[in-house]
Amino acid sequence: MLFDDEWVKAEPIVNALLHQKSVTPAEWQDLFFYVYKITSWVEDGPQRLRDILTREINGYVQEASEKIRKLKSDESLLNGYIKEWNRFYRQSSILPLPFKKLDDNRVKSSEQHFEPIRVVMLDKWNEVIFSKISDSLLIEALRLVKEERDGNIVNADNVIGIRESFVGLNNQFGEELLVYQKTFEKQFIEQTSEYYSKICGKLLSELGVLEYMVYADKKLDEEQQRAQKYLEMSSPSSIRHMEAAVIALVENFEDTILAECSRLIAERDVERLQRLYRLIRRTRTGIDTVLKCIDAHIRTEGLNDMKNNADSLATDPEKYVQQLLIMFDKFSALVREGFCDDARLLTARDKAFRAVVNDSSIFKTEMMNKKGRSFAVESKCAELLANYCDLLLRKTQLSKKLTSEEIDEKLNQVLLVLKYVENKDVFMRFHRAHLSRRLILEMSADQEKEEMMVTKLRECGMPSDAVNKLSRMLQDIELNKDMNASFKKALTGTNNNKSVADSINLKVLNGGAWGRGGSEKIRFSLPRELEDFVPEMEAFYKKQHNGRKLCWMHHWSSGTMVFGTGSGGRFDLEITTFQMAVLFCFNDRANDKISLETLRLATELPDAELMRTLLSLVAYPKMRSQILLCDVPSQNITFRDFTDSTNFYINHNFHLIKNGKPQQRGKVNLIGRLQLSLEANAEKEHESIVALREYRVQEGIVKILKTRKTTTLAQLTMELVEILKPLFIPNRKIIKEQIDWLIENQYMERRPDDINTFVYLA
Amino acid sequence: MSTPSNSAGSPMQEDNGSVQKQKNANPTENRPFVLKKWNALAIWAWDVECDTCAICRVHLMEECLRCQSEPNSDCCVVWGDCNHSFHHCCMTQWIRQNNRCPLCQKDWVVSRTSK
Repeated sequence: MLFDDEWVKAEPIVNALLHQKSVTPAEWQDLFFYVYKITSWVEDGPQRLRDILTREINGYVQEASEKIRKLKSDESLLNGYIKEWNRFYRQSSILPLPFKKLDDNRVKSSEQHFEPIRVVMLDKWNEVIFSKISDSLLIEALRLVKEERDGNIVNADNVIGIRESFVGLNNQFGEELLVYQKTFEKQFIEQTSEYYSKICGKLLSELGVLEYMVYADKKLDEEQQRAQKYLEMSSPSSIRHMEAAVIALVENFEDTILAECSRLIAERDVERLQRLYRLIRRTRTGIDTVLKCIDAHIRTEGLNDMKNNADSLATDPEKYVQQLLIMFDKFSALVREGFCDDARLLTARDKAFRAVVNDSSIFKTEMMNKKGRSFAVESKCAELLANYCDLLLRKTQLSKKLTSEEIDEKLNQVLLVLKYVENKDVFMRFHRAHLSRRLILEMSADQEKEEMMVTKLRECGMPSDAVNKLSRMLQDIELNKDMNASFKKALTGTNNNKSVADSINLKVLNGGAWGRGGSEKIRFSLPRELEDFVPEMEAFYKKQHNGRKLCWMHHWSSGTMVFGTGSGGRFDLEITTFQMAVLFCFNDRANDKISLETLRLATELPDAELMRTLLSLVAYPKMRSQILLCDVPSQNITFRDFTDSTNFYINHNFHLIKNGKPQQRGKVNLIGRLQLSLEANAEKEHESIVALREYRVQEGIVKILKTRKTTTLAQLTMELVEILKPLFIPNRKIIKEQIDWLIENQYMERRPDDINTFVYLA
Repeated sequence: MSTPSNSAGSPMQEDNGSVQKQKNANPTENRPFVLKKWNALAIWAWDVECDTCAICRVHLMEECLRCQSEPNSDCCVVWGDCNHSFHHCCMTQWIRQNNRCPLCQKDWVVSRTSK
C-alpha cells in the first residue's frame, strides 16, 4: 500500500476541515479510515502522516497570518485576529480527532519527542501569529476593558478571545498559566488598580462619603462580574484582581468610610449600614472597627436605657426583663438587617449584651463573705430574672392575665437572657427558693409548667446537680399528695377525728431534696392549739416509715384562721404559723393590750422573726385596716418603732373594703413574702453563696492540678473559668484567696524558682 | 415511745374534740381566733446515729459523691446489722475490698435499704 494513494483521498477532507468548509459525515468517517490504513499498513506511515499534516497546518497558519498582517489599525487587527483565532481554536479540538492514533503512537515511541497534534496546531499559531502581535493585542484588549469601565459598550468576545489565546497558547507542561499570569492577568490587575486609584479620591470629595459608598459598592459588584468574564478563574492569582479593586475603592478610604459607622448605627440606617458592611467585609482589617462600634453602641445604648428607667425597673422584675428583651431584639435586628448576621458581629453582640446584663453599675448586689468583707459586686439580673420566673409560674395577676402559650414564650425569653447571666448560681438559688415556696404554699399556677421549666433549665446547660434537686422537689410533692391522703384516711378511720382530718394538711418533705434546713430552722414554741396535733402526725408517720425522724419546719407552714371581730365581722385569715402563734395569744384576752415582751415570752420567737411577724399584723402593705393595733404613734410603722413595752391589741373594727364599701365578711392573705426565706436574710444567703463558691473554686483547682500536676497561674485561671462558667465567673480575688488556702493546707505548693507555677501535692 | 403517746393521747383528743366543736361553731367574743386549717410541714431524715456517710463524707440525705457528679442515678442508703448506715453505692465499693463495717469493724450484713 502506498502512502500517497491514501493521502490523496484524505487531503481534501483535511483541507476542508482546516478551512471550516462543510464535511459530510461520510467524509468525516472516511478520514478515520484513511488515517487508520496509513498508520497500520504503510511503512513509516505515522511519521510521514505527521510530517505532512504539520505541513498542512503550517500552510493554513501562514495563510491566516497573511490575512491578519494586512490589517493596519489596532482595532481592526484585534477584530481580524479574533475572527481567525476563533475559527482556528475551534478547529484545534476537531481536527486532531481522526489523528488520535498518531498521538497514541507518540506515547509508545517515547525515545523521540512528539507533541500531540493539537499542541502542534496551537504552537504553530503562537509561533507564526500570536507571539508577534500579542503585545499590541493585549494593549487593545485592555483599552476595551477601560472603555467598558467608562461605561461604553464593547465587544466582550474580543477580550475573552485574547484571554483564551494567552491561556491556550502557552501550555508548557507544569507552568500552564505562567505566561498568562505574567502578561494578561498582571496587566489587567494593574490597570484595575490604576483606573480606580486615579478617579476615586476625586469622586469621594465630590460625592461625599455616603454617595461614594453607593458608587464603590456598585463598582465592586461590576468588577466581580468582570473578573468572572475576562479572567481565567482557575488561576490562583486571579483573586488579586478583587484585592486590587478593594484596595483602590475601599481600603484607601477605609478610615473615612468607617468614620460613618458609629453614626449610621446610632441612626439605625440599615440600608447604608448594609452597604458599608458589604464594602468593609472585603477589606483586611476594617471589620475590627465595625465590631468596636457595635460593641460600644450596645453597651452605651443598653446601659442608658437601663439607667433612664432604673427606678421602675429595680422594683418590677417584669419590666426589667422586658426591657432587656426589647434591647436584645433591637440589637439582634441591627446585626441581622445591617450586617447579614455575620458571625463575627453576632459574637460581638453577645459579648456586649453580656456586659449589659452583667453590668453592676445600675442594679447591683453586693456579696459579702462571712468575715463581712465585700466579696464581689454583681448584677442583680440573676435575682430579677428569678423573681420574674416566679411571677410567671405562681398564681399572680400577671400569670392569670396570660395565656399558656404566652407564659411559655416568656419563660423561654427568661432562659434566653439567662444564657448571658454570669452568676447563674445566684439565679438557681433564687429560683429554687421561689419554687419551694410555690410548692409548699401550693401557689403554682400550673404543675406542668413547673416540670417543663426544670427540663428547660437542664437543656440550657444549668449544672445537673442543681437541676436534679429541683426535679426531686417536684417528685417529692407528688409523693406527699398520696401521703397526705392516707394520713387523712387514717385519721378519719380512728376515734372520731374527722374534724382533725379536715383541719390538718400534712407535708413531709425529703430533707435531701429541700435542704436539710438545719441552719434555717427557727425554734419557737408552738401554740397549744397546734401542738396538740403533732403527736398524732408523728405517730402516723412513724407507722408508715420506719427509721425516719421528722423535723418540723414551722417557719414554712401556714394555715387559715377565722377571725371574729367585736363588731361582728367574720374573716378568714390565711397566715403563717408564726402569725398564728401571735394571734392565738389574744384568745381569752380579746380586749387586752399585750406588750411585745409578753408576746416574746409566749411565742419564744427570735427577735427578728417576732418583729417581722408583728409588723405584718399591724402594718400590712396596701391594707386600709389592720388586724392588730399598737400604741406606736407614727404613721409608717417600722420595726424600729417597736420596744419591749410596745403594746398590741386586737382591732375590733377590722374590715375589708371592696368597691369603696366596708365589708364584714371576706378572706385575707397575710402571708405575702414572709416565707421567702431569701428576703428575710439576704446577707446570710449571700454568705452561703460565697461559701459555696469558695468550695467550688477549691474543688476546681484541685481537679485541674490532679490532671496537670504542675500548672501556671494563667493556665489555671483559664481552665478554672472554663469549669465554673455554668455557675459563675470566678474573679481574681477568689482564685487568689483559694490558692493561698490550698497552699496553706498543703494541697499544692508554689515552685521555688517560679512563684506563678503551682505543683500538686498528693 | 409510740404506745404511751397514743394511750395518753386519747383522753386529750376527746378533750380537744369538744373544744374543736366549740371552735368550729364560731369565734366567740372571748376567743376571736379559731383555727380552720393548718398546713403542717416537716422534713424527714434518716433516724441514724451519724447522718453523714463515713465513706464519702456526704450527708446521707443527699446523693453520694460519685452520684452527684454522674447524673441520673438512684442513690439510696443501706443499713447493716450493726445499725450503721452508708450510701449503698459507697458500701458496694467498700465491701469489694473489706467485708466489714468501716465504723465498727463488725462483719457487714445488710439489714435493710431505703428502697
